Amino acid sequence: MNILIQSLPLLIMPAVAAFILLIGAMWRRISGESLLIMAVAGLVAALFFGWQGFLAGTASFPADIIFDKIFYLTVIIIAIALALAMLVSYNYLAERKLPWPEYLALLLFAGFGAGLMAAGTDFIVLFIGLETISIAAYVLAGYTRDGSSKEASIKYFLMGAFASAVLLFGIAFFYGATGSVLLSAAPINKLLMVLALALIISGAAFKVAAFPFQWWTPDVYEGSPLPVTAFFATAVKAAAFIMLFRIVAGISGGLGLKFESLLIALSVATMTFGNLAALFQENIKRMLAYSSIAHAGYMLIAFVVLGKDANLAGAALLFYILAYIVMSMGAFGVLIYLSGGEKEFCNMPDVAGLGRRSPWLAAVFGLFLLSLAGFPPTAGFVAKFYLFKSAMAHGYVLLVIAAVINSLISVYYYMRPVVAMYFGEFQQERSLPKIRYSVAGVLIFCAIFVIILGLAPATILAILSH
Amino acid sequence: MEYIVLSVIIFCIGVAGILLRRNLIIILMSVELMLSASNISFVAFSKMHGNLDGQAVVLLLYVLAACEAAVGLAIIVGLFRLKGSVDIQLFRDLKK
Amino acid sequence: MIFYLIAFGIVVTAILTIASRNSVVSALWLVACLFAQAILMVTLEAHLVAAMQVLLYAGAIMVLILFVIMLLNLTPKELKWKFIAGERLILGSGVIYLAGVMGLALWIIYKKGASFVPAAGGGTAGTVEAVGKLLLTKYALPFELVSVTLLVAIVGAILTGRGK
Repeated sequence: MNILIQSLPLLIMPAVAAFILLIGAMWRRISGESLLIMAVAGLVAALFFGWQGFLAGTASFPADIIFDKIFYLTVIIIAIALALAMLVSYNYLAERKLPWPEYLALLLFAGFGAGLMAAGTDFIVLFIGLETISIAAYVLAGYTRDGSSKEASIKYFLMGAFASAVLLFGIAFFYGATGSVLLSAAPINKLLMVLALALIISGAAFKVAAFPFQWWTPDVYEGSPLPVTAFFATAVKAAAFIMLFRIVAGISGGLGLKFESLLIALSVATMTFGNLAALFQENIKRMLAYSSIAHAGYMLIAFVVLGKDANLAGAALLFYILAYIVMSMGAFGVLIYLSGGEKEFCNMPDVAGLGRRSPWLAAVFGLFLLSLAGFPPTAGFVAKFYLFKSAMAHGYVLLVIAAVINSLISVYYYMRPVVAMYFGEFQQERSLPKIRYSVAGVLIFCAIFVIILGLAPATILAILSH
Repeated sequence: MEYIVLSVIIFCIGVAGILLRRNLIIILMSVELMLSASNISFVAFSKMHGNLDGQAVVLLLYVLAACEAAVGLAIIVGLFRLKGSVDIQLFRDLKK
Repeated sequence: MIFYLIAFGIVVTAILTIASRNSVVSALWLVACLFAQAILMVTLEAHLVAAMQVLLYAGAIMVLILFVIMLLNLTPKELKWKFIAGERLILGSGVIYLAGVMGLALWIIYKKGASFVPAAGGGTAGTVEAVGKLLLTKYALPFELVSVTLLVAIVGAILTGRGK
């Protein structure tokens, strides 16, 4: 019985998803709003039970799953990200007359997959979670009817299936090295274990879009519908990182020195590639895709620290993920707010003059971009500071210097939309859409969160480092 | 052990198929080849270790492979409706 | 000896799968390849898995693929090999990485091959009873979880596949 309550935050998501699917199929005239409210209520319940579980502490139920504090924190973070992604897509879906029940159900199922990726202590559970979230993501990428969305869907599918196969091959070798699929199994054959880890890390690097497996990201992010891109950049990315965290932290004896230098190289290469490629993008959506690659590079720093101090690295990673979710959800939210009718407006000229036309929107967008660049009173700064400090504490000075230089480079491209908004030429041809309350609500929530995380991070840091 | 060498070879053939072919359905089949390579190594390792865990896992993996194939085919059918072809070269509207 | 015979069959059919001009032919070679793999699994005493390989993989999944090929009514085109079109350098680096890993695999296997020999090995035949028991006790949780993935795939496939 207790176990049922403990696993409630995980079970509630597919339950609500199945309910929405059924009610959507049986009662066709039900409005999108009521389904949306149901889905968000389910996520709030998951959040609540997740918090209760967090307070109650660790419980592990068969050998292959564990409900510890990291799991509950992940569920909370994922629930927040999903709820924001749902609210942000309200006008977008309504204006395009896209079906609601499947959209919400797939997002909720993706949340379930993400929860499994955070709870598994066994490669099979992790892999099932990964497949669940990936399949939902492939379908969501092609949710609208236009060609670029379908193209993003097939690209994502091919790359994702390829990555899954590589990861699975690594799991097969892991089984060969240990005789078990449990993460904690001790290797019988060391050499085979090295091979297994190399394959598993490259499979996971695909999923988190780390160099040299990042090239699918810009196309997929650009082609997918905007709210779905926001979901990819936040929830999917967070889940992939948590899974990598579980794997790296759970493997007995850790990764060893060879993999530490590999991770350092991956991290530096990823952030440098992301930042350099983002410099000259004219499409803001694509620029944010490259920026998400760069942020993946920063987050990989936590995995370098992981071998030395798991608690510190875990807290730094979770804080970074939380900060990244609110700020990039906010940035995508602004783009969604601007996109009207059937079209998306994501190019630099589309935001030109926004500072005069709609000062509040411009101010909020500027805040999110500043936060992504890592300016002081925002969440992005604190997250970076905390992450770099943890790396510094364990003597990775060069890595931190590379990361700081990269952050400085990133300032240039984050400032371009800001400059365009305040100094650019006003575009007459298109008027701003009328107020979109749900998107505006998400923007306000994200903005407040960005500032709170930036000004008073102590409480949340204390929770995250349990 | 020869079984593992065999599975590595099959895996590489699958990778080659993905990289070299343009027909989406054949690319999908190459992915299936890669998945089946890991099935072979699971079963071979199961024999080596003298436990059946690997075989139980393979049964679960069949289901996941079926899921992936079903969704992949659905996406391909959708693309075919749009463009009338399954040549991957046609799908490059998104700029590089 | 029998292993090499089967292995030869698997490799040849796999190569023919990716090298055929016509996708129907390609799919049939893949069926042959999966069938040969099932025979290989029988020699490894994995009876249930071999049966499932034929029923599920060579049967259900391949029927699905063949069905879609027929549905789309594809005409075989001239076989053109694309070599890593587009982002050559970046994609190439990933491929080189994978090739390195594969090379490492083969090297390890040749070097350390002897140490893989199973300790006892007896009594591990993958009968329906033995594997089924394991699947519903130790792997009961993943077994249940897979059903959710199936549900997602069903929803996704219907959503993507249905027309306007």
